[in-house]
Amino acid sequence: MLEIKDLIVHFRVFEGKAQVLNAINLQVREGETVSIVGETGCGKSVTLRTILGILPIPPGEIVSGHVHFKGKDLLSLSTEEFHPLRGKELALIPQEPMNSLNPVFTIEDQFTVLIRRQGRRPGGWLSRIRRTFDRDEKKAAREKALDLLAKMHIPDPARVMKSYPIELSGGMQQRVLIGMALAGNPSLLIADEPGTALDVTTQEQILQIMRERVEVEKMAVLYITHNLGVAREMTERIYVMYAGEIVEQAPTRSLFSDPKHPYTQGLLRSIPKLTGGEVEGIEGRIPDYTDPPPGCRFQPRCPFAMDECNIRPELYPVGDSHWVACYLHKPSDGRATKTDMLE
Amino acid sequence: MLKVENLKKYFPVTSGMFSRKVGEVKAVDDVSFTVPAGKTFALVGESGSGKTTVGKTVIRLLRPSGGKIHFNDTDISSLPERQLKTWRRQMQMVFQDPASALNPRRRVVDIIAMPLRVHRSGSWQEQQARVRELLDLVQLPEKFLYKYPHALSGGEKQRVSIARALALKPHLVILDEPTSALDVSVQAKILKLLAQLQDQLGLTYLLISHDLGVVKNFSTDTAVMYLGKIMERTTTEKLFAKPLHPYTQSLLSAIPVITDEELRLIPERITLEGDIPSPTNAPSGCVFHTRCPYRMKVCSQVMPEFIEVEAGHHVWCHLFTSEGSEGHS
Repeated sequence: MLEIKDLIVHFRVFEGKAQVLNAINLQVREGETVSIVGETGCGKSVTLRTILGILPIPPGEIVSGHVHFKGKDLLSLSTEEFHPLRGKELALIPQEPMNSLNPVFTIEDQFTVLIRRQGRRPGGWLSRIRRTFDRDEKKAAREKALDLLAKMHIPDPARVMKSYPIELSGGMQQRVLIGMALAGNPSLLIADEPGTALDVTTQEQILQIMRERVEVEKMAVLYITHNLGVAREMTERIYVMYAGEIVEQAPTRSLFSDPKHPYTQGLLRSIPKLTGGEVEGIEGRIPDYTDPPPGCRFQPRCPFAMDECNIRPELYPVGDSHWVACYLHKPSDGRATKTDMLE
Repeated sequence: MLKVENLKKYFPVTSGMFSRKVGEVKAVDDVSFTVPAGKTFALVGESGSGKTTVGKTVIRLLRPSGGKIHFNDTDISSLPERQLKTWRRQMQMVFQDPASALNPRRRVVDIIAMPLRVHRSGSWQEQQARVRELLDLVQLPEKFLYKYPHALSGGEKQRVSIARALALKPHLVILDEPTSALDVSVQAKILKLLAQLQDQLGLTYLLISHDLGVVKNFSTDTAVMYLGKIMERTTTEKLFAKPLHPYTQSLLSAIPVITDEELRLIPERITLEGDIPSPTNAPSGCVFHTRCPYRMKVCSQVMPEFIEVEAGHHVWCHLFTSEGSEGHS
């Protein structure tokens, strides 16, 4: 349904050209839940913005690549052509609930405007004036909003509708935003770190609601998160991103049981487990995007780095739809693989 | 080492032109715990539970409204400001967000030397030498001395922050969410460093955190806080092996874990209803009763006293009191 092909995105910055996305390939199939996992500054949000056509250009620059969604090339669409897709086909749950609602309008104002305008072209001034006074339409929008809020397990939707965002808790704001994202029955929902700004018990409530809605509405979901635990709970397939590259992609189960890429392994070892055991971090820091290391971008921090790594590895198959971009897992062609040396 | 008894911190709520006091926020209410020397004690809770206020009150950045703070057998809860200065050398704090805890207009060397200057510790040369020593202690190369905070990554900033806290050779260090602003791969490095420093310098830590994974791997004793009160207090091992308070159980069950072994450890999922109530009008009786899946009649009326379920395991819950068990049956 969604297919990203060799996407390269650069940013013009003072220091020169920041090569942020370096040939990203990604797919989301119909009804599938997929997540992109990575640490701060790995390019998750840039990917998301490029898909939704909200990448600021300039300073951003799409150098090459395609984003196909249901047979359309999203990158070539004009703003008007993109409009009917927004909310109806593609919807976003933004990261920070506190900053994503307009503080000077009530939830009702924001929500009904969204429902009434979604998927429609703005139209001429006459039709706009006519619709401003269309009471039936207003009422229908209000009812739909109330219904959506109730589906989000908000105890008193009528009160929430009359509230301003600051009168609501973070968890409530997040629920309102999920409701808004679902208003147009999108076929692909993109969730940018849902619930990470919230406490664990509230996050758990939010994830529960998301799971329920996704199940009922059978939509495809693309989760963007830095929390591997959340990715594990919520999605079937995971893409691990590092410094603007996909380093590993795998079904959730095999990623956790058998991580292949040294970065994925390091990341999993860094998480403090309830079962105890030593936590180990990863040495060094994320590379400078204006001057990335040649070849594999994880190379300067990688404990297994070798000469070959100066040329960028391809994604090599290591299992059932499990791919990894690392020479350690290059299928052997007679020569001994590094995996043997490791053991 | 540090003994906190019935600590209370109330903030007044004022209204109107003359700031009339109309109410109180009980940010910390009746909190008691002991931190043995050389050990780590953790306070866990969600935002608004008062854990940071406890930390700030313990080092007297805030004046307690009641209760006692014994630090090395001296009660510092009522000492006047002037006498506190000598005590503050022995207790320092590492703040939550390293980006805002460091002055952006000063270089690393000046940031770390600041506590030395404030306490007039040694000559300028001695201070400079100490700064280099500290930088080495937190495993940063010397070239960082003349950098400004904006040129550092999050993990490096937190190392500078730790170096500053250690400048005066304190005995007690309060770690207020030392890693919550960092990525996991960096977090692991910082935690390792902190553990190493504890061994090396014999530090005592009061860890404030919302991340139970961190707490499990880092602290010896733990108290779970909710709305300014302690709900359960015991050794970390017992807390995770046998959580008794319904709030502790739901907190544990909400952790998104990454291995199946962990899944076996945590209690069955309990999704709480609603949000944390506002602390300005905290619920009557047990503060948790509005969200508790096991609430009984008595819970909304009487605040439970602590029950020592077994040696060193205290729970504030009616499920374990005599009234509770009667109401339950």
